[in-house]
Amino acid sequence: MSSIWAIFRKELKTFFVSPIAYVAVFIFIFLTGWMFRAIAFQSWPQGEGHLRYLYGNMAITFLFVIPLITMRIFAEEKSSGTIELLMTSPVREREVVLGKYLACCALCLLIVALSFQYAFFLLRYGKPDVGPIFTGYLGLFLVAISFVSIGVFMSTLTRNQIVAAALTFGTLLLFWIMSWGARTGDTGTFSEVLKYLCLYNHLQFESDLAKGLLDTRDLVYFLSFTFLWLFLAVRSLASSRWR
Amino acid sequence: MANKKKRTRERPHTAAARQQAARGETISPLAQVALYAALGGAALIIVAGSVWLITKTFKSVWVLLPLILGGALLLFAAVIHHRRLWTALSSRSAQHGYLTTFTILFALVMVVCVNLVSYRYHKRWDLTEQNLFSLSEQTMKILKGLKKDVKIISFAQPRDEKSHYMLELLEEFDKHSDKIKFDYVDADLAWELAEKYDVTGATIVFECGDNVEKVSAYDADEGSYASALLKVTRDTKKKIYFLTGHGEKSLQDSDPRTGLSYFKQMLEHENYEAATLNLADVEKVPDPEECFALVIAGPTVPLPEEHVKAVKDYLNQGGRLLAMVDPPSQNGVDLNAITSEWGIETPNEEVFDNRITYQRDPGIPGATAGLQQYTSHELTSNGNLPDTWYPHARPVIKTTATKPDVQITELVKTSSNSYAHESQPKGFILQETSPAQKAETASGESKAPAKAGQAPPAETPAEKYPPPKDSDDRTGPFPVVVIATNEKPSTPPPPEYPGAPPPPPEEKDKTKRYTQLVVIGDSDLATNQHFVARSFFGLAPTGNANLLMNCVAWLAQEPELIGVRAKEPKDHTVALNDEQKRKMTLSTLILTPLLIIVVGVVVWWKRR
Repeated sequence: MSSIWAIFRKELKTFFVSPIAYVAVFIFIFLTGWMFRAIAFQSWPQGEGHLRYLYGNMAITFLFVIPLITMRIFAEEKSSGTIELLMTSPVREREVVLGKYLACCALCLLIVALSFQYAFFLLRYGKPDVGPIFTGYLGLFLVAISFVSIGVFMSTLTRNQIVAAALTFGTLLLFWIMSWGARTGDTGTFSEVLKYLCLYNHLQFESDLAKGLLDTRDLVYFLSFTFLWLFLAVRSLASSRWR
Repeated sequence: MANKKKRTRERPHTAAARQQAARGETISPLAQVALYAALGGAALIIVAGSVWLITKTFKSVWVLLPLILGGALLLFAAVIHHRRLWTALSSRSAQHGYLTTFTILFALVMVVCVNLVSYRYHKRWDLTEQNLFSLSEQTMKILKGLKKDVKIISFAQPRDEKSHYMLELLEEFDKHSDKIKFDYVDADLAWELAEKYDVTGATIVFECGDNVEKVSAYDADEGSYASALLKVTRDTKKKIYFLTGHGEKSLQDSDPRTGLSYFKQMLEHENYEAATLNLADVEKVPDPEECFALVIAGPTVPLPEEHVKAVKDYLNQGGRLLAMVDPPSQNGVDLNAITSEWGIETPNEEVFDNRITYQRDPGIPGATAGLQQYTSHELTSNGNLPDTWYPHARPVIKTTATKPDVQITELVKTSSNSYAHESQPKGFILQETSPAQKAETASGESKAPAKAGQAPPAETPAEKYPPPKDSDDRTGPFPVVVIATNEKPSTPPPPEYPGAPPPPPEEKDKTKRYTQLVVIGDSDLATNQHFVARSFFGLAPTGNANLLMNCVAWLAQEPELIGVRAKEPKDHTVALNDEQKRKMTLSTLILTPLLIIVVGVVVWWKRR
C-alpha cells in the first residue's frame, strides 16, 4: 500500500511541474465553459433548467484531453530508461500501475471539480432537480476514469508518447461510437451488445445517469471496463520481464 | 601450400537462416523451402478465411482448396522444422506467453459473465425529486391489489428512447406483481398469436380470462397501462353521476376555463362511467348501489327544495357526495342546506392569500406538501400530494353535525397569510360606504353615495383586486377541502395479554352503507386548464386532478385507486438577467481559465 501511495504522490507531483497538465485542464475548462454558456443561455429559459446536454459534451472533451494526460505515464519512462529502475525496485507491477492510474484519476477529479461551478450557477439561479446533477457528475467521473484506464494500457505498449496518445484517442473514439455499428431499430443480440459496450450510451442525454437514475448496470459496466484495461496494463508491464 | 578448402557459403535469405549462419550453422535447401511453404500456407489460410466471410459457406471450392492446400503446406513446414518448433514452443518466454494469454482470456470471461449477470439482475434507484421514472403510487397499489392473473404480451419492439422506457415499465409491472406475466413476442414469427388477438401494429395486449384490452405501444403512458389493467380485471364499471340543471359545469364542455372534459376522460381512464343527472327529469337520485358518487360541480342557481330533499334522501341511504361550491363573486351558490346537517358549511366569503398562490395571484390560494398544508390522510397520500390550487375559493368550515357519529376531517388548508373577505356577487357593492368613500365624504367632495344593487363607479374599492384586508376579515389558515363520514374508524381490539402481538383489525361489515361527503370551496380546480399540464409524457394530471380523483376513489369505495398518479415534472425554467449572464461568462470563460494559466506560470517560474 505504501508503494502505491509513494508512486501516486510522485506521479501527481510530476503532473503539476510539467506544462501538459495545465494545458489539458485549460483546454477542458475553456471548451466546456463555452458549451455551458451556450446551453445555459438557450435552454434554461425554455424550461430545461438542467445540465443533461452538458454531460455528454464534457465527456467528448475528455476524449481529447485524457490522451494528453496519460500518454507519458509509461512511455516516457520507457524512452528515458527509468522503467528498468522501476521494475527492478521491490514493487509489483500492479502497484506501479495502480499508483500511476490513481494519480491520473486524481487529476481528472480536479478537472471535474473545476466544472462544479456549472452546477453551482444552476443551483444559485434556478430550482433544479438535484438528483440528476449528482448522477450526471458521477457518470462523468466514471467515464473519465474508464478513459484513463485505456490510456494507461496504451502507454505501456510503446516508448513513443505520440503513438501512445494516438492509440488512446483511437480506442476511446472507437468505444464512443461503437453503437453506430448497430442499425436503428435493430434489437438483435449483436446490436444490443454494441449498444451496451458503447461508452456514449451510458452518459448521453437520454441515458439513465443523465436523467437521475442510478442503475447497478452502469456501475458494473464502468468498474469492470476499468478493471479489464488495468489488468491488461499489468500483464503488458509484466511481459517486458520475459520478452 | 596447404589446400585450403573453400567452403562456399550461400547467402542466407531468411532471419532464421541468418541466425543459423551467425551461429555457424548452415541451413539446408529443404529447410528454406519449408520456411517459404509456411508463409505460403499461412497466406492461403487467410485467403480461405476471407472467402468464407464473404460467402458464409464451407462448401465453396474457393474455401476448401486454399484451406486444404494451406494446411498441407503448414504441416510440411512443421514436420521439417519440428525440432526448432518444439524448442520455440517450450521455451521460457513461450510459457510466460501462454500463462499471460490464459489469464487475459480468463479475466475477459469473468468480466463478460459479471456484466451478463448484472444486466439481467439489476437494481435502479430513481433519484429525481418526484420519482419521475418509477411506477406511481397508484400504479403500485393497483398492482398489489390484483386478484386475477393477467397476461401482458408486447407485439412491439422499442424504436426510440421513450418506447424503450415504456416497455421497461411493463417489466416493472411484472416484477411488482406475481399476478402478472409479461412476454415479448415477435409478431412476424408468432403470427398465430397475432391473429388470435387481431394485432396489426405495435400493440400491447392485456388479457385476463375472457377480457382483452389492447394499447398502442408507442402512444401509451403509465396511466394507459394501469387503466388497461383495471379494465381487464373488472367486470363492471362504477357510475359517477354529475348533477345538472343548476348552472353546474359540464362534462361535455372542452373549454379550458369552464369545461370538465378532462375530468370525464380521467374518470373513464380509471374505469368509471361518468353520467349526468337532472333532477327535473327524475324523481330521485339513483340508489347508492347504482350511483357510486354524486358530484355537484359549481352550481350558480340555488337548488329548489325538492332537489335538496332528493340529495338529502340519497345521503341518508348511505350515499356519497362530492360538492364543489364557488363564492358569490364567481356567481356561485352554497349547498349548506345539504351539508350543514353533516357538520360542514361554506360562508359567503372568498379566500385570498399573499403567500402561497398559483402564478402569484392572491385570488388563487395554493397548498403545498412542504408547508404542512395537507392533513395526513390517504386522500392526500399522507400529506405528500403534489401542489394544488383553488381559483377563487370559499372557506369550508366545520360546524356541529346534527347527524350521529359524523367524523369530520379538514384535508387541505390555505396558508396562515390568507384572509377571508366577504364576497358579493359581481356588480354588487357593499351596503355601507367603504373607508375611501367615507374619507371623500368627510373632505366635502360632493359625490352621491352609490346605492346597493347598482354597478359601482370605477373608483370604488369594490373594483380593486385583490380587495385589501379589512378589520372585519378573518385571518387564515382556512380549510378549503373538508370530508365527513359516519363510518367509524376501525380500532384494533386490545391484545390478549400485555406484550402479545396486535390482533388483526375487525373486518368491515360490507353490507352496511356509510355516508361520505367531500366539500371543496371551489369548482374551478376541476376545469380543464387546472386539471392537466404539459409534461415529458404529454398531458399529465396536476395535483388538482390527483386530489379530485382520490376523492372520487374514496367515495366510490376504490381504495387501490387512491394515490399519487402521474409525476408532473416541475417547471425548471431559469430566467437569467444580464448581470447573472455576465457573472457566468466571467467565471467560466475568463477567471477559471486565467487561474489555471497563472498557477501554471507561477509553478514554472519557481522551477526555472
